[in-house]
Parts: sequence; structure tokens; C-alpha cells
Amino acid sequence: MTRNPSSSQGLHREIRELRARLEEAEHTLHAIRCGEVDALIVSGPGGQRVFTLQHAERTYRLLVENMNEGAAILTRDGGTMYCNRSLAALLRKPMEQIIGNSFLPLISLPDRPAFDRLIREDLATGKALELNLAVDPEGTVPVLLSAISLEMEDKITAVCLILTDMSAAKRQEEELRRAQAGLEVRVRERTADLVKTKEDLEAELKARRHAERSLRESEANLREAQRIAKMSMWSLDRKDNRMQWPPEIFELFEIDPKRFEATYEAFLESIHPEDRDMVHRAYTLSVSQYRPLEIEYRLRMKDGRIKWVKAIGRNEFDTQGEPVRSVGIVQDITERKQREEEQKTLEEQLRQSQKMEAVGHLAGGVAHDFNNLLQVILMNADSLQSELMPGTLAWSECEEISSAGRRAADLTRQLLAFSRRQVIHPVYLDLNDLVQGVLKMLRRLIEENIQLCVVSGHKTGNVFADKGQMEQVLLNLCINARDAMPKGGRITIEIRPEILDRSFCSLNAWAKEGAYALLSVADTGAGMDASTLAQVFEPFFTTKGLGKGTGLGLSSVYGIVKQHHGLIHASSKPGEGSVFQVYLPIVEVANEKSPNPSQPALTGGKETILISEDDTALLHIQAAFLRKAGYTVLTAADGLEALQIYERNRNRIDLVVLDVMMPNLGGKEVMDQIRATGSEVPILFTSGYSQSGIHTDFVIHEQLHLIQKPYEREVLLQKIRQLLDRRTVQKNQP
Amino acid sequence: MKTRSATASFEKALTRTQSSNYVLRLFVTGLTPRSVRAIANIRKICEEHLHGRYTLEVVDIYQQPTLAEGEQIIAAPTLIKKLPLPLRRIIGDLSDTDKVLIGLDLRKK
Repeated sequence: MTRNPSSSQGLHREIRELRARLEEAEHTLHAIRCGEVDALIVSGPGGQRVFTLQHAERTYRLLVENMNEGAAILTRDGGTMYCNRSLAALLRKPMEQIIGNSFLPLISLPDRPAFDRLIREDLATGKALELNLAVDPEGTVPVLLSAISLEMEDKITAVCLILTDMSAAKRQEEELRRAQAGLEVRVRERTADLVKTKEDLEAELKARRHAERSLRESEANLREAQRIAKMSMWSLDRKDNRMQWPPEIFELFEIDPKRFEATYEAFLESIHPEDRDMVHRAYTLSVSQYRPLEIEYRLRMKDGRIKWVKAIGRNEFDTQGEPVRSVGIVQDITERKQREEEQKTLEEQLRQSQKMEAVGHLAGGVAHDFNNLLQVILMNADSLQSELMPGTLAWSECEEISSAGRRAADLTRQLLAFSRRQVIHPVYLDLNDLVQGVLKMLRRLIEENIQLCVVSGHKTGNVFADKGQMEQVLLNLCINARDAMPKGGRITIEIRPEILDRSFCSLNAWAKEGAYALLSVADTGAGMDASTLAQVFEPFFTTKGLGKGTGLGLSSVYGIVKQHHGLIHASSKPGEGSVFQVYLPIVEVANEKSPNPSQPALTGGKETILISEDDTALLHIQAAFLRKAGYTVLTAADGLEALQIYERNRNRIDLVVLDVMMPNLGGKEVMDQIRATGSEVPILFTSGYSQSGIHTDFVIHEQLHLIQKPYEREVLLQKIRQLLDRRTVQKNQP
Repeated sequence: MKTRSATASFEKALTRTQSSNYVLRLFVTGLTPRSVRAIANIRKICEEHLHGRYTLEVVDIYQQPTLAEGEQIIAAPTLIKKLPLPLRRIIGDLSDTDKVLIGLDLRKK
């Protein structure tokens, strides 16, 4: 307000202003009088003071009375000056029991000290505390208690409390806690589930690893099995004609993988030319007839070796029945095939030897009976001839009978040689000497257009063999060689030592391991084909013209060699000549000439002889002949009778003649019985043949004396005299 | 020309009065019934007569006692027209609208 008293205009304005302020003051006073104001503000030296008119608190009272929270005003010493309705409801007490009384008993006993401390503290900025109110009957209510100091008139300080019921919150908290506990349980359960799942997974993983390891092991086993079985897998994709071969097949087929086109045609190309068509047909047929493939075929290696393989396979077809793939294995069966071949050869040899054994048995049986008949014929013819005058017709006819009988005896001897039933007289021999001894006769036998070469001089060591029969072997082989070369050629006789070892025997089924003296006779003749070669040792098999050969030459060679525990092997090809190889075992004995006793004079004697023979006719003729020679003869029809007669006459019997084969008691058994009594009486055995090696062996091993039927009368007389004389010498020795 | 000039001045002055911004301050004491009514009444009057050209401040003397100092307030509710000048005080719950409008110079007596 600008005051300018000198100006009337300013004076007017001042009057207007004062009137307005007066009016304002009047309005104010009027308003105060009429109660249109709620408060009066009085400015003083201590600042403004606001005086609220009585009715103006109504809103606050309504606010405080209607709020949910409990409210109270306490004095500093805890006396209750005011409480609202909500607090009375919370404490379940009428208000008049609360106002004017101490607030402390309304607090639960345990919380009272804390409450007591709180209301005595400086509460200018307000503090809060959670505690329980004590509620009738004997209950508690959780509350959040906020306290703040309240400056009242006359400097009185009070404490204002606001109490919030926490029951619902506590309940929620409890529920929350329970929910949390439940959640924790569920988490624990879920964790346990997860742990279990993890363990299951680990177990499964372990099982899988184990399975994988087993699988790897079985794959390795399979590979090993395939390797041992020499087996490999192949496949052929029919659509693009691709062969799938593992390295093992290339190794088996001996093909460089880089040079293999891996087509079906290239595969066929790798097969032995003679088997290609067969393999192709078999495979085509297996596809067209929807059948598995199983086939064995040969491979020819670059160096000419033959391998046998076996292929097994099956074919896969699409829905239209078109072949899409073939798959299978191929196996090296070379060793099996070789074994089968060897087996076949052995079986063939066994069959052959069985056949020859059977034929020999038959021939030997016939020869034995035949020999006894010949013995009778010959002895009777000789006996008759000695009665006749030489040069007469009857004498000549007797000579014819004897001559025919001897030829027949030769024939039966050959049969017996083949059937290995001839009695042999083995001695220690050097085959070089044997060949030299026979050479002169051989040169006579062989025509001039045939050259005879002898390769000898190799020291072979001795063999234990019958000299005459070995000569027979050499002669037969040479005659056979000669007959194979009607237009001339060369015969080579070779003697050399030879050791047949295991590897040789494994490749040559006929061979047996050991040290041998080899006698080989080779010719440059026409040779033989395989089928002829297979039958060459069979009796009565001959390639010579009718009447030219008996078919017994090589058979008797075979029999003689076998009887000497030797080996014989023939090899030949048409146009390439033949070679016969005779292997005789070498024996470790000094080269000792067998004694060759001088031939005693053909004389009889006065001694007593017991003769035993089951062939009655032969017995009689022998007895008559010996009596004629001056001997006293006792006869027995079989072994048992011989023994009985010997028992009764043992002091006067000087010699016993025993047939090896007799009914009841054989010759050997009779001898054993006689020897058992301590008697050393000389014994001479006679035999048509030796049925088996046992008979031959006992005669040879026990240094006994034996003559082969049919024998010449002179041979019998010589042998008897020789034995009787030797006995006399032994008796005279001190 | 002179008449026209006087008329123009009046119009101009009128426009200035009507268009000038009002600054009003209402002093109350908490939520007393008259205070509440005074707030409601002045808001209504301002919206009806001073729409868009007024600033109203409500001051609770309990909460902001210093703002009342120097304003020579002796009762509440009191409305003070701070602008436009001259400054005027109106006491009461402002329920007499005519009296309020005269006090605000929005109506002649």
C-alpha cells in the first residue's frame, strides 16, 4: 500500500483500502461469531498457535474410531488415556475396563518386559514391536505394535499406539510355512526321484556299455572264428554290379585289390577256368529258383597252385521279386580237400589191398590143397620111375608126369608168393651183391635191342630177405620191362639208400617212414594209363597177349615185397615208360654171410622117425619112401596122436617130422609139448603154406627147420640126414 | 475519435481483467468439515469463472505452519487472492458464491 497523504487521489485510495480491510475484519469477526471457521490462528512471540474449535475434531474421531487397527494413547507410565473400538474388540474387553487402567496387563506375560522398555524409550521418530496381547480367556492375539510420542498441551508427553492384528498374517505365514515345508518335502521327493532316475540311467548306461563290450567281444570272436575257419564275407550289389570283398578274400584269392574291378565278371575271371561255367550256372540258378547258394570250386594261383574254396550265400529280392543283393561267405577248404583226396587214395588202396588179400586167400587155399595132391603125384611118379628101366616108354611117361607136376608146383609157388603164404628163408643181404649175381642171367633173358644199365655201388646196408625170392622179384620186374619194350629201349636198374620221412609219407599214401634200400627198375616202354596202373599188381591181370603171360609175375613181386615188410610203388604215364620201386627195410646187422652148409650125400639111415601128417595119402607115401630109405617110421594122423606116440616111444625116436597145419593139435603145439618134457629131439616141419605170419615167424625166429610142400624126395632125405648128423655131432661134443 | 478512444481503453481494461491470471491460496486446518467444504466450493467457483486462468494452492496450517506466517491469517478456512491486486481475504467455507465472486473482483457490488 502506497500512502501519499498529499494527494487527494491517494487519500481516496487509502480510504477505500482501509474500508476494504475493515470490511474484511468485520467479515472475519462475523464468521468467527457465526462459527464459520474451524480454527483460529494466533501469532505470538513463540510463533503461531492454532486453536481448533470443538466440533472440528469430529472427522478425526470418526477416522480413528472406524479404522481396523487398534489405537490407544498412554501416559508415559503406561496408563491408558484412550482406546478406540477396534482395540477393545481385539482385546475382547469393554472400553471402560481399558481406559483409566494400566495397559501392561493387556500384554502377554513373556512380552511385558519388552513393552515396558519400549514405552519408556525416546519415541520421537516412532518404533515398532511384534508381541502378543493377553486375551480372555487365556488366549493371545499377535499384533504389530507401533508407538510414537505425542506432545500434549501443558508439555505433557503421551505415547500413541497403533496395534495391527497379525492373526491373519500369522495364519498366512503358518500356511506359507506349511506350504514351504510341503514344498520342501516335494522337492526332496522330486530330488530323490531324480537321484533314482539318475541311478537308473547310470545302470542302464553301464548295462549298455557292458552290452557294447560284449558285442565288441563277440565281434572279435566272430572275426577270430572266421579267421580260424578261413572264412570271409562277401556281397554283390545287383543294381550296380559291385562286389564287396574284405581284405581276407583278396588275400585268399591272391589278387591285388587295386587291380580288381570288383564286378561279378571280374569275380568269375578269378575262378579256375574249368570251374567258371559251373559257378556261373550255380549262381544263376540260385537266383532264378530263389534258393540259397552252396558251391565248391577251385582257384588257380599265378604260380599254378590250386586252392579249393566253398561259397555259401543267399539272395535278397525286392517286392517285385527282382534280385537286389547277394550275400554270403567264402571259405578256404583246400586243406580239407587235400585230406579228402588223401582219404580217397587211402580208401582206394585199402580196397585194393583187401581185394588182393581176398584173391590171395583164395589162391593160397587152392594152392595148399593142390600142393598136397602134387606131392602125392610127384612122389608116386618118382617111386614108380625108380622101379623102371631108364629109356623105356614107361620110364619116359613117368618123367613126363614128374615134369608136369614140377611145372604145376612152380605155378602154385607163384600163387603162394603173391598170397604171401610161401615160407621164406631170410638172410642178411646186400642188394648190390644180389643184382651182380643175377646180372649174367638177366643179360641172357633180355634181347639185344634193349640196353641194360645198372646204377649200383651205393652202400645201402643190409636187408633181411629171402635171396631166391629177391632174385625172383628182380627177374620178374626185368622180364616185365622187357615185354613192355618189344621195339627195344633201355632198362635201368638202380640200388640206393633212401630215407622216407614224415613229409614224404604225408604226400605219398603208400609210403611208411623208415630207412630203406631201394631197388628200382625203370623202362622206356609204352607206359601205362591210370586204370592199368591201378590193376598192375592184381593176379591174373595181364596186358600181354593170350598165352604169353600168366598174370602172376607182378602179383608175386607184390606178395614177396609185402611179406618182407617192404614197399612197392609203380609209377607210369602213357609214352613215358614205367618205374617200379621196391623199398626193403635196412636192418642194422653186420654183413654176415649166411652159412651155406655143404650138401650132404643123398643117403638114408637106420634111425627111427615119427612122421605126422593129416593127409592120409601123403602120410602113406612119405612113410613108404622113408622106410625104403632104411628108416624105421612111426606114423600119426594128427598132432594129438603124434604126441601120444612120442610119449610112448621117446627113447627110440631120433627125429620128428610134423606138418605145421593139423587138426586137434598143430605142429607148433606138438613141438612145444615135446620140448616141455626136456627132449631135444630134432624136429622138421613140412608145410603146404603158412596160413599167417605167425607160422612163418615162429619157424624163422626159433631157428627151426622147414621144407615147403611139394618137395622133391631128395630134399626130404637131405634135410633129415642133415638134422640127424648135426645131432650126432652135438652129442659127441663134450 | 476521443469517445472511440475511451471505449477502446475500457474494452482493453476489461479484457485485461478477464484475461489476467488469478493466484489464490486457501488456508485450512486438516480435514475439518469447513475446510473440506471450502476446498470443494473454491474448486467449483474457479472452474466456472476462471477456467484456465487460475492457480490454486491449499495450505494445511497443521502441516505447513510457516506458510501461514506473514499472511496475517487469524482464522481457517481463509482464501487469499494474491493476484490480481489488490490482495483480498475471504473467511469461511466459501459457500456464499456471490460474496466470493465480489471478493475476487469478478462481480461488482
